[in-house]
Amino acid sequence: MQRLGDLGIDQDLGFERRQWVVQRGGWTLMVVVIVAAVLGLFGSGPLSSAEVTSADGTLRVEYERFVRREVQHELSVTVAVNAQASGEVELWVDVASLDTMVVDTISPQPTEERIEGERQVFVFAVGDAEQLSVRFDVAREDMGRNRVSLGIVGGSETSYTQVSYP
Amino acid sequence: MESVLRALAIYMILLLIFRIAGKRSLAQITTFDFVLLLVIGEATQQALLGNDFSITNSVVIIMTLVLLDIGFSQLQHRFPRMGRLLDDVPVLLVENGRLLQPQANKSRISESDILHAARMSQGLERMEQVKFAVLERTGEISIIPVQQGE
Repeated sequence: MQRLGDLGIDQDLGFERRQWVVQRGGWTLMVVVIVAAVLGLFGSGPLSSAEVTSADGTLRVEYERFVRREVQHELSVTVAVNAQASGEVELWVDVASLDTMVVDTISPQPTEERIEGERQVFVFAVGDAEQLSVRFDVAREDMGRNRVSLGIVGGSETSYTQVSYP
Repeated sequence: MESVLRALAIYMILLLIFRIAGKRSLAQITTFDFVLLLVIGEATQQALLGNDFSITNSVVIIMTLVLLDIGFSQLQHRFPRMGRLLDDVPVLLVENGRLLQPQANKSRISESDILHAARMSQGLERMEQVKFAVLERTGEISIIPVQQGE
């Protein structure tokens, strides 16, 4: 126990000063984290919303780069339906990726779902529409980076990467 | 990430509500106040977390709240006038053993409350032994006893 005049106090000003420096540094770091969060680094924001298009432009996917585990988010797929189509669009997603997700709803509802090897195929009735927009409400069950591949059966394909936080 | 904005909104609203409620609501731990604090905690949880139970969301919200707290305390430090708005000022309740009725009434404090504080903090027995009693910003009542030989 030190003595400062009449006061018995266990002070260590050197330690205190170093601590204050660390504290200020910590606050700055936290502000950076929060700003990054608002911008979408951990999901739901401009940094996270992304889009990828297939090489021939017939398939466009809007996805989230960053998501949080078990939090629902949207995956939108827009397909340009070709003229001599059979009134149906067959969209496939790789099974390995689908296994890491829980698919809550698919809008519009597919008329058929089947597995072809490593792909899960969703069949949608389009009639004579020129474009099909499908919305998947999904949630990642796992954490970490995932590469999702998807495409049209007998047509173009594309892929994207998604990081899931705990 | 809207969680940050939700945390901000809840913090400001709670700050405003408790500020308006007055000092005694927070310092005194009677059964009423205990129940109130307990239930308010539950009521805010849903608003803060929503459907998102991830660790990331929790940590971001906690960081936001802590930063707000630090921010406001820095603000009070630099701008004392602002401090008054956010955190109130002390009020004299007893002067030389005499209870100042208007202030005590407005602050919802009784002679009994003051004697309670006098017993707890100074071991005093009667109002005549209290030189000053002050309702502090924190809601506590501080007692200055009459010095020996006064």
